[in-house]
Amino acid sequence: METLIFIDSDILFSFFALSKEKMEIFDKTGTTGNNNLDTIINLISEIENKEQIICLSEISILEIVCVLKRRNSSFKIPNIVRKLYSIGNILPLDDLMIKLAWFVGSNYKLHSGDALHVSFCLMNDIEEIILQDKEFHDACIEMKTDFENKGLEVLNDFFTKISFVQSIPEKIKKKYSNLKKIKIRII
Amino acid sequence: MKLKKINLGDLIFVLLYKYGGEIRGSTTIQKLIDIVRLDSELEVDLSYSPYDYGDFAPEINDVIQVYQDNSWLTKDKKKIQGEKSIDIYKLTPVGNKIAKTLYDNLLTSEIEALNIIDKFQNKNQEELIAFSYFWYPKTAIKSKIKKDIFKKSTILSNLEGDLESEYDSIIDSGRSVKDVMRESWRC
Repeated sequence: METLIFIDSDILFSFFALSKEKMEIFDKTGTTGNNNLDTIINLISEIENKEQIICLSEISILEIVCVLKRRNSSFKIPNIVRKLYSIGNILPLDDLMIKLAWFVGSNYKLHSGDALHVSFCLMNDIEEIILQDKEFHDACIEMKTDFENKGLEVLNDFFTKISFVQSIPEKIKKKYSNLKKIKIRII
Repeated sequence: MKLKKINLGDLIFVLLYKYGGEIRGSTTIQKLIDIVRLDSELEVDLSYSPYDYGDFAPEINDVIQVYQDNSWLTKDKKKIQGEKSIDIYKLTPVGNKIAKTLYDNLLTSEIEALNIIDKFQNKNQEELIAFSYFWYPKTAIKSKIKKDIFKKSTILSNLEGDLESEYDSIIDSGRSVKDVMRESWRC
C-alpha cells in the first residue's frame, strides 16, 4: 500500500547532490565515498521500491529556494523547483496549519520552519517523517510522548489561554491526534 | 478588493466573445472563470469545489446548456489525438450579437479586469490547468490528472548532480545542510 512520507528539506537538498556518475560508483563499489550520500541513496531506493509518496509543502520549496540564493545559485532554482514538483506531491498550506504551527513552535524547541513542517505533516495525514536533524527528531518524539500522556490537554490549554479563543476546531483536534500513529525516522 | 459582481451568464458570453466566439474544452471554460474569480477584481458569484480536474462549478454547465437550448451556443466534439476528443463551444450569430452588446456595455474597469485572461488565448487546455494547479493548489487537491500536469517521474530519473557543488561547499565548510537551512530563516 502506498504510504505518505515527508522528507526534511536538507535531505531533499542532498538528493540533488547525487548524479548518475555517483550512482554508478555506488552500484559498483557500494559507496560513493561519502557516508551521508550513501544513506541518501539507500533512502531513495527504499522510497522507490516501496512506491512511497513524498508529500511536501510550499515551505519546503521556500527553504531550498532561500538556500540556493544564499549559495549564489539562484539560476538553478527553476530547474530544482520543477524537479521537486515532479518527484513529490506539493500540497497547499491550510489556515489551520499555521495555527497548529503556533502551538508546536510555542511548546517545543523547534525553529519556525520545522514547526510548520510538523504541523503540515499532522494536517495532511503524513505517515512518516524522515529527517536527519537530531533536534527536530527529539522535539517530534517529545510531542508524541506528550500526546500519549496528556492527549489534547496541552493543545486545548494553549488555545483557550488566548483570550478571544474559547474553543478549538474539531479538525485541529483530529489532525493533532495523528501524533498517535505518525512515525518519526532519523537517518 | 473586488470591484463589482459579474453575472455568470454575462461572463460566459463575454469570455466567448473575447476569445473570438470559440472556446475549446469545457475544462477551459471552467478554468477561465475560476481564474477570473481568483485573480481579477471582479466578483463571480459561484460555488466552486475541487473535483477530478480541479475546481468545478456545476452552474457553469447549467448555463451553457441553457445557451445551447436557446441556440446561442453550439457544442461539437472534435478528435484531438487517438481516442481523445475535446468539446468546441461556439457562439451562434444570435449569441454573438448578445455577447457583443454585453461586452460593449461593460465599464472600462470591468474590461481591464477581464484582460487577465487574454494571456491564455494561445494556450492549450493543459497549460491552463497547469497555471491553475500551480498558482491555486487548493483547487487541485482532488485532481486525478495532477500527476500528468506536473509530469511526475521517479526520483532517480531526476538526479543529475544539479546541486553537487553547493552540497560539497557546505560540507567542506564543516556545516550541515540543515545548519544552512536554519540560517536561511534569519533576516
